[in-house]
Amino acid sequence: MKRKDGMKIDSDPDEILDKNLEEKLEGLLNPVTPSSTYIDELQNRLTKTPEVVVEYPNYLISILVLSSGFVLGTLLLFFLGKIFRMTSSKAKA
Amino acid sequence: MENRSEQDETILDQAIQGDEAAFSILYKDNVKKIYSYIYYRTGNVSDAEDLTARVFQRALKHITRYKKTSVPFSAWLYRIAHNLVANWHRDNQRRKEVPIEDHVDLRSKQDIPDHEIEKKQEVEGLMRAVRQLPSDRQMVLILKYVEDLSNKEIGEIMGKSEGAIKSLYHRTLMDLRDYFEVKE
Repeated sequence: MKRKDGMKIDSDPDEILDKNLEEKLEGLLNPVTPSSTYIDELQNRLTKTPEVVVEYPNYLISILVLSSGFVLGTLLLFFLGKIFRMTSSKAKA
Repeated sequence: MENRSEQDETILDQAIQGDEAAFSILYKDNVKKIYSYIYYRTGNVSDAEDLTARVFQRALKHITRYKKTSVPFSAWLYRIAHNLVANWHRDNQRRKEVPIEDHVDLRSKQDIPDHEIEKKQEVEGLMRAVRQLPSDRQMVLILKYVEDLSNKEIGEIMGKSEGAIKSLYHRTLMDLRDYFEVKE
């Protein structure tokens, strides 16, 4: 036995409720698409290795500065010692 | 998850061997589905974007361990997404969850037609109801309605039989019906 709208009168009420709920779910749950910018950016992040530039310290300059400082310091001490010795020998004389 | 063509198989093989260009193709094929799933599970755009990125980063890192014979590639991605979403929910248990209305519509309310506002409210109500469900039931609903997958395909993703998915789906509908009956 059927009603005008085609629905069986002796249909299980739970079944009808389920059908309504399914129709509701079908109408409301739709795929959500992310923005194309996001898709492209994520693709770049995943597949392109980041360019990392590692700057090593220039050891040559520091070695030059240190060694020239050492040489200059030694020379200064040598000359100061010589002057000190000369002045002390003059004072004794 | 239909029968993969030979070309798809080749791309998958290349990606497994570490070919980034091949992985890029797989990414393009799956990113929308994974994003959509995560969006419905989290309810907001920023977390959906963040978790989608993490899914693909994890997939890229572990793709050499993926075995073609176990599950289809998209099912493997869904499993990663499911685990990450579960961790996300666990980490955010104490933090107040921001529901779907966080997806801000920039138009003013005056510009939105009444039927659109009604639909939006209906979606929000439904999503609140869906989020009350246990995580496996949420997954069944999203995969069935949003991704339009069959029970068999959902079973492959969740590692369950077709019959188990059918009964899980039925129980999910009953839970939702109870929720709406109590509300009404």
